[in-house]
Amino acid sequence: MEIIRFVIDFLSFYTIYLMLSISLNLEYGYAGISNFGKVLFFAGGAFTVGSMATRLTILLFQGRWIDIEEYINTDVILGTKVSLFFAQHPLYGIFIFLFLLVLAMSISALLGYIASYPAIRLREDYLGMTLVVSGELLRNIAKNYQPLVCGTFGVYVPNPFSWATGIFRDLLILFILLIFSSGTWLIMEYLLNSPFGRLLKAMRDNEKVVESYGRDIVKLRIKTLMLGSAIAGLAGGLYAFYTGSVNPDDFTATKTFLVWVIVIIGGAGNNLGAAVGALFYVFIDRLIAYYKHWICLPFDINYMSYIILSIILILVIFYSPQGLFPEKPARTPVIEKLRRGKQIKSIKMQEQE
Amino acid sequence: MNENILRTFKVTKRFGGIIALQDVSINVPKESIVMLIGPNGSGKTTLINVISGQYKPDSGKIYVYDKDITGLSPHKIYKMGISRTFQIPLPFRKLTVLENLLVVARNVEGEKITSSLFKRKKWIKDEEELAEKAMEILEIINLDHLWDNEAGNLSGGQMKLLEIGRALMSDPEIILMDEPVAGVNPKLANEIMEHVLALRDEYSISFLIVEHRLDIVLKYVDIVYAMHNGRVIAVDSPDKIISHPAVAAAYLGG
Ligand SMILES: Nc1ncnc2c1ncn2[C@@H]1O[C@H](COP(=O)(O)OP(=O)(O)O)[C@@H](O)[C@H]1O
Ligand SMILES: [Mg+2]
Repeated sequence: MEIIRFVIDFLSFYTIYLMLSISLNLEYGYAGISNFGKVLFFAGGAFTVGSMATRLTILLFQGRWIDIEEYINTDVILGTKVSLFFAQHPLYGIFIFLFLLVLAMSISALLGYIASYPAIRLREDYLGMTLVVSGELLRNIAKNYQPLVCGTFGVYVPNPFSWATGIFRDLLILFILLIFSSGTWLIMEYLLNSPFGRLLKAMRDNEKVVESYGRDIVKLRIKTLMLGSAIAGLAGGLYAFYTGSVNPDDFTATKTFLVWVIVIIGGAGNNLGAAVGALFYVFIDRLIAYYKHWICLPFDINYMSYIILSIILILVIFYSPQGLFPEKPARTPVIEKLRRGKQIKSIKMQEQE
Repeated sequence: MNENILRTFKVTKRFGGIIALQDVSINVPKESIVMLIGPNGSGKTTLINVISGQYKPDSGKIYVYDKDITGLSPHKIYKMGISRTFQIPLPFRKLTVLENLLVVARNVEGEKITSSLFKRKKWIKDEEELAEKAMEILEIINLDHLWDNEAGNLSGGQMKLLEIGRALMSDPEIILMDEPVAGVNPKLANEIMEHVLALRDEYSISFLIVEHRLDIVLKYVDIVYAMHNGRVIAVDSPDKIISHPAVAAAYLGG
């Protein structure tokens, strides 16, 4: 039984980190935008769900607006009631779930749009600092401004699938997470193996030239940041629903750097790399989380996964600086066709020689 | 002579105390090859940068036909039918040679997020045509055998050729070339210039070519402007330009 729990838990976390790494890979690996504020957009999605799930449901289906005092003091009771309500009305639960995910994506995309303002004007290092600070700023606001997600101790998130019970519920949620993450994966594969993906890489390699050839790099960067942020927002929203609570201190800059390390280990500019990098991290992290009382260490066991990840990072940078799966040219159907043709040609040429 | 496709009028550009361009007025008649010569530091690259929108001039005007394009951003100037090559080649290093061409084509379907996802059939069909055209251009510039190589791995000379290939791919009305044959062996340099002639004759493309190597390029061009210290010091036909005393002095002095 425990092994099943572990697998469910591992895969669920994996889907979230997969989405985050894909979104950073889009921005950094493809478009060359150093987004050091990934957690900001992740938190944007999670806070959207956390702050609205209970209140919106009660407002929509019971016509009652929860005032701030009541929300802060009794969020767990209210949220539990909403979960019970969803148990009787599964469709309402699914509606709230989908609606809030769309909202989470939109709000994060909006944050991405705002972040593109400095992204277009600042040098890379200043942009990095600005975004790190913005993420910390949002976290501190959430921590200290209780009407958002109830402050320091966080907010309870009702379970929209509470009509399902036991392991079946966990499997159902995992299934939904898998659909969202593989959907994201597929869409991004199509998107990046197209003239759009190629243009992003060209912009990364030399934006001056891309501009000389008629492309508006300002617009291109805005689009990229909005899309990447929407994906991170989706991941954040799903994360909030999956864990059943949103706690501001879960959204430190460390999350951002984790995703960076994942992308660099895996290989920037290659989603397969991002997927494998995320696999490494989540597996180590979950393994340690599950078996930590079996291991005895002279320091906090929770740092163990960072230590292992750093060692992998150092090894990768030494032995394969482009990551485990280095970038490849865009695989559009036309290029694939040409490549097959070329192979035939060069084989023939060798035969003649 | 034909009407002017490109015209600068008293363009001035300063960098701090340096006057890189002073009252530079040049004309590029349609379907002609105009050459710009001058010693190092005389302002040739700056003029190309100002025309193509990389820099805004401090004063003066730039016209395409009769349209004032002064101060527009590079991507808008490109839309007027102007493409340029860079003196130091700037390939998209991680893209293949073929992709370097595909990415700069005009009106690429599938370059927007929505069309790349929802108009797949259309952009794939377009890309087939573009790839064919790109392959033809690669044949012209002798890079076809390297089409699937990363551009960052090309030799310096090959990168120069790729610069030209990209400019051709973008279907321009006029190409501004910054030292297209510098550092290229004489045989290839002559081939490049032959191609320039052919493109002018077959596709009616006009050229403004900045070049040091008078020995090779002069015989292919129609008009020559000579610059020195940010000013135009002479304009004449290629056979007469060197006999201008100011030009000879600039070259000997600079
Ligand atoms: N971005 C710049 N900043 C400062 N000075 C510049 C810049 N670009 C060119 N210059 C100066 O302008 C003058 C003309 O340079 P340039 O146009 O590159 O000459 P050329 O291409 O004829 O060799 C030189 O003195 C050069 O140092
Ligand atoms: Mg120059």
